[in-house]
Amino acid sequence: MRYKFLILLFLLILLLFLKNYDFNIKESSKIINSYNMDEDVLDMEKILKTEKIINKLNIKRNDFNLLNIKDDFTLYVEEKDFELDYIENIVDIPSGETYSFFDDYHIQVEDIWKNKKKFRSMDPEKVFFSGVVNENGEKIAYIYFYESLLSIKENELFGDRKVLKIFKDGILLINSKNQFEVIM
Amino acid sequence: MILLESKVRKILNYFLNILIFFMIFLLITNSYIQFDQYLKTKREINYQNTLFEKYKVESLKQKKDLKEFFDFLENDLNSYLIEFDYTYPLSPNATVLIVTGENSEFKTKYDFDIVSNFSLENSQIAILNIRGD
Repeated sequence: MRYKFLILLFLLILLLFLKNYDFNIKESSKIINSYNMDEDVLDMEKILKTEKIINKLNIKRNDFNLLNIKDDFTLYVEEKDFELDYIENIVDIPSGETYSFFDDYHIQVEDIWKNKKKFRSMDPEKVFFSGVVNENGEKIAYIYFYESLLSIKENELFGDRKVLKIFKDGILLINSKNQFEVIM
Repeated sequence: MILLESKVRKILNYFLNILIFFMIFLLITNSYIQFDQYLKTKREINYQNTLFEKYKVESLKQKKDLKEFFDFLENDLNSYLIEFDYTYPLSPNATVLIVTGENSEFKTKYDFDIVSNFSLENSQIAILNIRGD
């Protein structure tokens, strides 16, 4: 009789223990190496070394101009986060890898003008070059444009074309598709 | 008196037996529930670990592809990047300006369109639209 009480007590303790026992499965924490992306600095090393998946990467050269390519970029990076309790390990690494395709580049307009005969000219029968006048150090070119005489300056827009340079024997234009055109 | 006492003992004894069986039953069901819970947690952790590993592998593959593309622009073409656009998991797109010699050829596994090209005295300049595969 007495030991039945003892058994009962023992079972009760066991049951309480089992009810309150919490299985704590030990798991090592996850580490993702990630770097602080500074959107003002084009740092390819960080982009190529981060262990996070990059969702979006957009690099764009600012004010693209075919004759004068500047090394000034707009960078946009968006990372895809991993939904799990992990330790995000933000380490800062020094910039290393740089690519030469981010460099600036200049084309001499005179070199382009040497090949002027290869470029398309705007309706050569109706649009042609008349002459150039130097006024206060600024070149003003005159062209016959369908029986009217027009004056244009450098860097001015001429329809959807931009006047790149006025030479003494013609005008170099660039159209919206980045193709050269000439008026001679 | 003795008889009465014995009857009470008997009833109590029955009651205790029932209680013990009941407790044992509770113990068994509870252990089963706890064990099931343990297995569930373990499975969940395994699943998340697999997801994490997958994420890392995908990330590595992405970096490898991007590096390959950049290396192509850097080493195979004498190029100047104008625009680069990439959205995961699609392939990267780039608009570049390249400076080559006259009638030069290059081999690439990437698709590209020539947007415009013109020649200078000794070289040729082209704007290409390159699509990764």
